[in-house]
Amino acid sequence: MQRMADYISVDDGLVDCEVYSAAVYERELESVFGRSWLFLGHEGQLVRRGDYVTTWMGETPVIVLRSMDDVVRAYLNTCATRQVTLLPYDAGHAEVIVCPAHRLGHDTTGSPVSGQAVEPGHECLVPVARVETYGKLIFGCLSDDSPTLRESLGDATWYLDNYLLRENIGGLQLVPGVQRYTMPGNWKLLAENFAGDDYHVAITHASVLAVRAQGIEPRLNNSPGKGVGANLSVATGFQTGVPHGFLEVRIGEEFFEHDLMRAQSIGPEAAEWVRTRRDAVDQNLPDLAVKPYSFHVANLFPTLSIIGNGTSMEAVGLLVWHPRGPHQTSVTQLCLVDAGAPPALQRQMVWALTHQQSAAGVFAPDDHENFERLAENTRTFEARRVPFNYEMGLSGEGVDVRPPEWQDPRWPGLVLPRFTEMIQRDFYRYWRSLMDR
Amino acid sequence: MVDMELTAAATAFLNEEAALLDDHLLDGWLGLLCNDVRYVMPSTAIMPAEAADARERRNALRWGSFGDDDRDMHFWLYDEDYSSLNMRVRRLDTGMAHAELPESMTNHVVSNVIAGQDPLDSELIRVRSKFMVHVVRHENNENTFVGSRWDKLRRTDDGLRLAWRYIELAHPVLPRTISIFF
Ligand SMILES: [Fe+2]
Repeated sequence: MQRMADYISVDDGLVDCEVYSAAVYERELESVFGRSWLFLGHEGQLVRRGDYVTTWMGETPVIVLRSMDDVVRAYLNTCATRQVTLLPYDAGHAEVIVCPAHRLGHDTTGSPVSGQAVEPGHECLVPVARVETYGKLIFGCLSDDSPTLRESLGDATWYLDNYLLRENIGGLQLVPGVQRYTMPGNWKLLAENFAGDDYHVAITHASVLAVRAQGIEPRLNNSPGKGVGANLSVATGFQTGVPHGFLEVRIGEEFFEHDLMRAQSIGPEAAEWVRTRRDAVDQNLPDLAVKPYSFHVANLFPTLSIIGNGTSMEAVGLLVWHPRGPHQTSVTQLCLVDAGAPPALQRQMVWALTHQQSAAGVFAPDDHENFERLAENTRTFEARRVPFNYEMGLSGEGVDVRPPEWQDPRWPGLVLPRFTEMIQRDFYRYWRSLMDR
Repeated sequence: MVDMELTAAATAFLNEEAALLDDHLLDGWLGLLCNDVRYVMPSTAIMPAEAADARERRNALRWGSFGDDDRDMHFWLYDEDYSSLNMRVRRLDTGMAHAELPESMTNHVVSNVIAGQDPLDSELIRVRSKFMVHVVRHENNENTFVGSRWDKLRRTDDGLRLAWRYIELAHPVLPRTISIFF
């Protein structure tokens, strides 16, 4: 196969449709999904020893569990002898994992316990090479020799610690209910949409902005509106590491004040929580003169997207893009709220995520429509002659837009204008380097 | 619980509702809902067989009894009241809701209707039904949603109106995102 460098010209912001083809897809399952840290779940799904969930790493089915010795572990959800699926449920509780074909059983630490005797090293249960957690987020990597999770997250941890996980005020709590749904389109298009495409929001989702303006549903009015404060984008790992993108990084008192106003209509405890949440950031970062209030959307390379995090009025959605062929993606979506928030505010948070970025929300189906309209078209011969254009902001490549008084080495990441395709260019740069490695 | 007369009346109501949805007459559809309607659809998971008490709780929830779990949080696909359903219809009305431009061609096929008097409230009848909703978008994107519904219809001066709907889809992984009603 040709090198991806022939198809992706980052300097010109051009990406050939070939990168969404079946031939490239087969290779990226190994080169990208076989080497990257992939999101497996949240520790809130594994409360007791023996609790498990099943998910995928790329197309590979896996089991994620809390073993009887209280360690988060992951295994392929297929027996090594015949590739039979071991656990057919989405979630459950198991102290022994038994292969249904030949009844070979293993305990939760991976040791054979019953059935046919096997030579050491021929165990039926294959562990995922590496499993690590970051703030209750569980990640796995199928390769032994790629960078550690911390190295891969890089400066993204600053944004996750201060603006997502908030462990100093109790952290996040998983809300019961997992959504799984099918979206058309290559997984990369969905991931980079969350990593770097704030530009589509006002256009693709114009109907939501219009209905907000009608004011008929106050639970939907979660942002102070246009022309308020600063909405910026941030790239971490830019040109040097694993690329993660953060969108609607919000700076300005207005965002806090709008949250406070909305919270006051829910009750005094809700308003108090909004202050607690703001103060927690201030305590974490006391010396920064100017600091973000929040970020709203992000993608951690390759396939963990985050949304809803920009206000105290919406729950956090964690969306994982599981590839299902070159033109289809299966989404797993979790919902999390601030564990310390009062119940009335938690309910507002869940309402807002459910009704916005979720399978039957008012945002996701409009994104679906875009991807449905483009997915098949990328297959045509003519499409291959017209590369996708990602040249927005090309003249400012690598330039941080913070004014001098905002500059501070303790605030990492490359801060960018709200509307730019720089993060997407960097996404394809890094993807290309994995493919051409 | 089956009552032939109520089953006939409920079937007529559900067929009228399906026609309004398929004709995209959504204000007419809203008119069939009670002001205090609850319209909910959890996601479907493949789980080990439930213990008897869990099965009983699920059955109670299907008929609208949250029990002690009333205030428990859940991340559902639809968790609607009249105001949020109206918001969804107003969004489609803006003429800018991509997902329904052009409008999806839908065919709601409703079947297996069983109706009877609600044991707790003389104004309500309980109706179970099955549905298949065939959705076509553009030339060749076709999906079929299959599921069951547990409805409570209220007798009013204007006829039957929907007070409660619990929808259970038979799709552990949804075939597409959802911009239609069931
Ligand atoms: Fe979008």
